[in-house]
Amino acid sequence: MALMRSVFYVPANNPKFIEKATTLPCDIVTLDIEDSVAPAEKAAARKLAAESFSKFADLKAELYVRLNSWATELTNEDLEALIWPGLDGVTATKVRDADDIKRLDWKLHELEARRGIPEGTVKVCCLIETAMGVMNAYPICSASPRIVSAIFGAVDFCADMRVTLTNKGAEQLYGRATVGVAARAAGIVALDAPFADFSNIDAFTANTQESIQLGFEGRMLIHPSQIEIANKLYAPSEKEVEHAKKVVKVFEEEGLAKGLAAVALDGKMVDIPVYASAQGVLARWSEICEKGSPDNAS
Amino acid sequence: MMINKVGRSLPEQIEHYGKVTPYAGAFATQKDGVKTGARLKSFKRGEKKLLSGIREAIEKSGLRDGMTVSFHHHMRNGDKVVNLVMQEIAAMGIKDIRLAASGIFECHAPLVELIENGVITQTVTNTFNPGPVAKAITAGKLAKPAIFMTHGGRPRAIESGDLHIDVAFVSAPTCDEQGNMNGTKGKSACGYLSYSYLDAQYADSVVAVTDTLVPYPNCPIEITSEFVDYVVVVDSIGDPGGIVSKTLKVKTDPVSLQIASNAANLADAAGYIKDGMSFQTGASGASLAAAALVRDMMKERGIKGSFGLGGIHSYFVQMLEEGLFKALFDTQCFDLVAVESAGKNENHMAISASLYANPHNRGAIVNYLDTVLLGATEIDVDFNVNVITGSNGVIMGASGGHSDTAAGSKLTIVVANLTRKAICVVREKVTTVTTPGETIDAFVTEHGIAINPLRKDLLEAVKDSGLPIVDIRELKAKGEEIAGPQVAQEFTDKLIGVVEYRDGTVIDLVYQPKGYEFQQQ
Repeated sequence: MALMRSVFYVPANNPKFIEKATTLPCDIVTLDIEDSVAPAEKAAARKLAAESFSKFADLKAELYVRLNSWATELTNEDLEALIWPGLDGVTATKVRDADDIKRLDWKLHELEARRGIPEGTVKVCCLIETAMGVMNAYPICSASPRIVSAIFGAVDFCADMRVTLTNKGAEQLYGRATVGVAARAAGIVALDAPFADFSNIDAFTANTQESIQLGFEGRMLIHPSQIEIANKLYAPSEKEVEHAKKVVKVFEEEGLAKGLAAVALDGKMVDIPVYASAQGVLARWSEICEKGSPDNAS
Repeated sequence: MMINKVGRSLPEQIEHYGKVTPYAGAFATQKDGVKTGARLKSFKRGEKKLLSGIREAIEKSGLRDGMTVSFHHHMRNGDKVVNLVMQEIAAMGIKDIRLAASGIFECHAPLVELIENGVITQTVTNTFNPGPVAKAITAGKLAKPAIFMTHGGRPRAIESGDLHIDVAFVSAPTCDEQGNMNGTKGKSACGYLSYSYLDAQYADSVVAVTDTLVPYPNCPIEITSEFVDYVVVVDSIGDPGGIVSKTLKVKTDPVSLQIASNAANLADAAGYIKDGMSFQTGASGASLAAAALVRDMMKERGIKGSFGLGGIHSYFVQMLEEGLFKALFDTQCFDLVAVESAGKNENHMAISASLYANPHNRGAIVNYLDTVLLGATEIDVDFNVNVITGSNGVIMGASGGHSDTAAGSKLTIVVANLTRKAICVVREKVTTVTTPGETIDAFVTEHGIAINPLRKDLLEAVKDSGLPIVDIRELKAKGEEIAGPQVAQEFTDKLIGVVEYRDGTVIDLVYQPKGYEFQQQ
């Protein structure tokens, strides 16, 4: 699974921002043709986005496009304009139910076939940001093998719930946790909502630490200053990596080799779930190192 | 008894129908002769057509027991005129009326009582929606068998004199005092009034029923005053919510989408998505999705088509406005976008039902059609299609343009979910033959595409396409595996309907299903 610690959003109608995004250390760049682009600008944004694909071809970051929702009746035109070689994935917005994803899956399949793109190339991220979407979170997350991630969208969720968005986020807790659980159950990555108060780094950090405890492995970012912090927080710390190495070593040498299901390390029990968790930490660390940005995790 | 070309057993004569000419093949029955005459009338200068109400129009028309009245169905499930007129006829004590309405919908539930008390004794229709009237006919309440025609068969019957209309009531969204009408303006705008053009030309008396009387001359004019005897103003001719949808949208269920992909890709693989192409679809979810896909293919390849035909919806309007079609030939508008387009775009043209699909004229437009997508309640292993009854024998629809376009089009694709609840759509023999298998080229489902073996050229064209081509018997087996064993419905001896092919021959008969009891809801 590709790293998705930092998913940086750029309005697709702004060439300067797109150019800047090619220089940033995020895991994913998402060109937005949805809410950050005015209706009159949609066509130009699609064109500029498609023309920008080549700029990202040699970068380590994956390239996604955030689509307009099916309810807007713009999605078909978005896909017709944007599904070309060079695009790694699309983000479906305001996903209501599994049928929204199945319809998208169908259209992607049809475009891949028509344009000679290998089937299944284009990945899907689901943006779950309405009460209906939260209620259908697991069916949505498991609606297509293309789905690799799900984002909890706090701003639209709060609007739909008619509640005020706060930095502490108590009003988001149910929706946020539900998306985290649904994503994990479906075997995909949970990505947290953008943090709107981007100049408040302390609040962003606290919110991100909370998000990790809810099972999120990355988040939507709306300002470059958030990228390195997210990369660091969503990566295992050196201490966690060192501990994981110890757990794996002791369990394999003292447990598995001797036919034991549990061993002790520093006075604590290490059994199969602890071993598996440590393996996960090391796998994630390995991905980060392969990507060449271990500094972000230090 | 006689056996027709699709293997159905028919009597030589049917009471209240007449001599039976058996279906002999899609193009076997041709005509060369003289059309029936229309009644000649002379109106003097100053003669007033505007009457006080429907009753006065009925009185002046001379309507009496045993006569035929006609209506068009462009107001669809919002229609109020059929009920208004028929209830007035009933109130006047007139009985034994043959109701030649081009379509009957759920909103026509009040007609059931008129059928039960003998005011209406026979129906002649080419569009039918499931509803109380369909159930009442299934239950055998009509005194005489219902006659099912096609959209092209009806004008053929009118022009040949097979269907004589004594009084035509034409719902007119706008009308002036002289009877000049159009369907694209007014509070009850429904789009073009195509199906009533022949009624107006051939009926002995024509009554325009409007809720929007405009100063003379009405602009534009679809049906001109020379054909109109009387004008009646009522409060409302239709409920706008039921006339047309605001806009039809592609459904999102994955099965419909899969079927749409298979259908569009079949048309493409067969070589019919090309410059100069023509295309017709219905308004079902799969059809609209297929239309949307065809549009995308055309745009990407810079294809300029010739025309879209039939019931017009927003997707066709969009294709016209984008230059993907040169013209739309419209027989009815399926949504408000189409109604608006009809009123303003000169390349969105009204056509009569005769020009659309009449097999006995000098060239109906269906004969120039490349591809049509059609539905089915059942299809059999010989590709015969049923759209009139369900597998339980209950009346659910009528041919509409099904048989007409199937016969005319170069590529006729039937689309349907392979199963519906416990029903497998593929049968050994369909319950009711509506459209003969010889005019069906392919059956497209979510489980694969069956090509009619008669179309060897089509099989050859798509053999390397990668499309999921299967034998129709494989689809039948698959459907039965999903839906379970299929039990054939049993029928009584009571004849409830005669199914005419577009050329006026009889392709099948509908009998009352055993054990069926009428329930209004």
